[in-house]
Amino acid sequence: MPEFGRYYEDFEVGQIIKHSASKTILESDNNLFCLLTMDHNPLHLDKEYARHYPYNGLIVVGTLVFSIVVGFSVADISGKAIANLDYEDVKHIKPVFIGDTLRAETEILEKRESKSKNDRGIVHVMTRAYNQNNEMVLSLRRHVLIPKKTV
Amino acid sequence: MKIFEKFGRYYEDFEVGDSIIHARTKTISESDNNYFCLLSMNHHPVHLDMAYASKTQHGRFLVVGPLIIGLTVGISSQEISGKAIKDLGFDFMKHTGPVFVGDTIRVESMILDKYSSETETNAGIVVIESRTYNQDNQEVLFLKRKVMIPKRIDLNLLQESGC
Repeated sequence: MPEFGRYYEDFEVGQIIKHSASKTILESDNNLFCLLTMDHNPLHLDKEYARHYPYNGLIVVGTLVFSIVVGFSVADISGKAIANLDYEDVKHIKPVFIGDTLRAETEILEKRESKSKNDRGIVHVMTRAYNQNNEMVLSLRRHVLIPKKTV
Repeated sequence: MKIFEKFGRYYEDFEVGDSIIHARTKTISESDNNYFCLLSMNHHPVHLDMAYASKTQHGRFLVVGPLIIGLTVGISSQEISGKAIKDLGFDFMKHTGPVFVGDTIRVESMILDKYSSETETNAGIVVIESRTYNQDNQEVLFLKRKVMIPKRIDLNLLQESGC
């Protein structure tokens, strides 16, 4: 069977993982995402409306930035996860525009074994996403429940 | 009479303690989950690989979490963030129950706090809690977020100042 994601033992506290996936956010990404998630804020969909706001153009919907950054980190962080326990302090630090290119890295903040089941543990991570000018656009922390390799 | 449909609210329209039952609901179709995973490059096999998903705890596809977050924010945009100028982010989010293909979700929000922005003169920050439920009224998502909302521009004041 092909392997996707990491086991609990593979995480080292302090380690920073640079995710290999990156993505230019295209007009179609933002457009389809807004429609799929029923988010009709005109700042994301209406060029004429957005022209009157400080950035003078469409702003990429924040939940797309969040979702893609989580997507970038799945192969390295939660690919084997039993559950995504929670997200904390999801911060949109700078706006993302159509044509921007995003990448992300994740720092392993802490890990501990599950108190109720001995075949798994909880990993606490912080993910930071950057645009093509190396400006941080998003940061988030999350707890994931990860299985152990061997019991 | 002409009625202008409203999309979003101004800062003044939010009352701390108000509870909002959002009108729009959505059945999560197989295509929603599939396209969302591909669009957001989330390739966890529990969302995309039926053979893998059938051997997991729930025995079927689990709907990808950020789709539920995206839909919760999207469904609430009509009454909450439709006029927002900045999405400041989420303080906390938790998937409180699983969502499966075919489930139907609805959303309720509560206004927890509001205060004027220190950086923008004509805007304020609104703090919101949203809860998402499935067709059996089981909570599936809880989140707390902050959005920056513009204040109503007082046209009389603008005229007085010669703008």
